[in-house]
Amino acid sequence: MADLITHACVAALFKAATGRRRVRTFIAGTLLPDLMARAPAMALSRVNRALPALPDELVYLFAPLHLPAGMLPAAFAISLLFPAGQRRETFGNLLGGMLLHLAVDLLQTHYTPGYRLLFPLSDAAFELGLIGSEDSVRAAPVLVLLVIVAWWPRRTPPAQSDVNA
Amino acid sequence: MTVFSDRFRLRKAAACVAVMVLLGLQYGRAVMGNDRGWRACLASPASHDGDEVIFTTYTVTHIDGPDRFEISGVVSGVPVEGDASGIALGDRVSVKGHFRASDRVVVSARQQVHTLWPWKVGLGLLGLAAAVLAAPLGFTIRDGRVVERG
Repeated sequence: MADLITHACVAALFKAATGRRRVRTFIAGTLLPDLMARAPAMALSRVNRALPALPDELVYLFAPLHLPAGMLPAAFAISLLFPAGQRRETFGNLLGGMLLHLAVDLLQTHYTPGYRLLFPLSDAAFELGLIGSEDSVRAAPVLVLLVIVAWWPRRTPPAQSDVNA
Repeated sequence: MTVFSDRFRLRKAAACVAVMVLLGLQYGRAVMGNDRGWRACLASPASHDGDEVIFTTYTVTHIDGPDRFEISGVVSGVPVEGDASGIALGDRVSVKGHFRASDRVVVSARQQVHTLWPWKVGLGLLGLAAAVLAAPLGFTIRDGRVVERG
């Protein structure tokens, strides 16, 4: 997994390039896979080491929320918190952000075969192996600068009629 | 009526939560029931002698010599036979190797010390803090529903 700063920056750049509606929801979507799946797994892993009586399965309970099969119900459940009129767009942006998160993570290489994209239909795992798992640390400062440039408020030139007035 | 309407909203939310729980249980069962990996090796050492085992971003919990150390992650106290030079207690390492049944150790074939791991965790925590602080600026509650500002 890449870090949250990198994920948020990639999402902000994606929205800057493709349209600036629902940016916050999209960025929230891109942060959610790690917040829903990785953070609890790391915490439960520590708890499991301290309390070996707990079933090991508990550590994996949240793992599907980092995969398409879990992202779909998660995005839909969260979209239900929004007004009905905005729900479809909210769902699309949450799910889009989550899938962008996965796309960024898929660039990485690990010793393990990768992410089980088709779970629960298949255990086959996949990743592109283009960057190291810690390369995002080096990329993050550059991405932050790019986001600032992309989102820096632009002054629009005054309309001709305003100039003549 | 569309799937995004308010009709049966709570039931739809409950169904989503149920699906997520079932997926989580299924994932755990698939991992634990898998007749591969460290747990399977310990459960039946002789039949898994030479099996490939992989540990990703485990913490170094003991260094027992120049070619012996112990790592802990989801499973604790995994003994590894491999180059311990350049490894310190508390480091994060990934190890790919094979299981040797005679003394129940992992013989490392490849290993990587994640030197930037603390930075990665730091950036993660910074991102989390930024998200928590920015959430009230980006979203508000109106009539019991979450609304994106702006």
